[in-house]
Amino acid sequence: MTDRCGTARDLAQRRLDGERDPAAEAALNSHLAICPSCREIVAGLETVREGLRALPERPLPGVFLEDILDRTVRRERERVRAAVWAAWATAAAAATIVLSLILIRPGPPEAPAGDELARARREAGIALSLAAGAMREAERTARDRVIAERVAPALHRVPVRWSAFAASRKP
Amino acid sequence: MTREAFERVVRQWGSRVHSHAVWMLRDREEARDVAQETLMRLWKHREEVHEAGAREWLLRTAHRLCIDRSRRLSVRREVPDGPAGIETADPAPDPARLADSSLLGERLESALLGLSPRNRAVVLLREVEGLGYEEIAESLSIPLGTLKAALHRSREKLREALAAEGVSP
Repeated sequence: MTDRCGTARDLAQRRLDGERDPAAEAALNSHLAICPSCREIVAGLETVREGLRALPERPLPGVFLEDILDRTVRRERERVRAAVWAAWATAAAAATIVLSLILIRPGPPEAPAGDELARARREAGIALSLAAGAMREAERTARDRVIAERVAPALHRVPVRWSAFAASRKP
Repeated sequence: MTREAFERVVRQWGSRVHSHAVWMLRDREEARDVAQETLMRLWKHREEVHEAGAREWLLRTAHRLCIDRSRRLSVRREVPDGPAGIETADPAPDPARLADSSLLGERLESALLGLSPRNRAVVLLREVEGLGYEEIAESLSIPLGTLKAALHRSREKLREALAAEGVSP
């Protein structure tokens, strides 16, 4: 290999790098025309480049791609969709409550008729009388119970004591 | 980057990322992990990455992950599950097949194994992915001159490897 071969191979590498210098290109071509060894090497370098550019892709299996999309885009979409639904549901619930309050609110009471008022007064009087009677009856019953439970046993014990006293006074 | 743009990028470049990882790591399981992690990182950083620059971003990220993994996998040298595996080149090929581009690909993949990880990355990022020199130099944190010298040496080594295998232009 001569110095010219070294220079030519360097120029060939630069050409592969994308450097475009007309003078260098001319020098390289004229050397390649007379040097089969460099011609073969440069052709080999170009084959390497072409082969690398044509390397078959190693596809990522579809299941992995789908898994990535599930964990990213689709999950995000579901999250947004759920948030939108929650917002709609909250708004619908709030609207329902407000409408219910408006529609079900009771109106002002109606004034009673004259005979209804009189009848109500009579019935109220009867109810009060019955209540008063019941109160009296309850009071009487309570008093009777007190007498029955406390006074009567006391009275029952009196004759015993009196009898005993009387007996002790007998000669 | 919108969700739709992310989906487009994943479908368009996912396999390029995976290919780079396969060629760098020579381990398909690890390569799939790297591809997935790279794409998940893009999702995480999607607000900062534009769709137009996504490919370069993905390759840079995948490359860094490959370097991290290759340090851990330095003792592993086999691709365990691939008919198109890098190490499966026919030791005595039929000369007629040598002209076949798929066989050339197999030989080249096999020859790539002979390069250091850094030089392999240089060759892949430049010749396969077509990234610019400055971008590769920045990604690999090496000066431009060093990058070009590494590329020249690597091309020459690959050429010699092919010639030794009987692959001639």
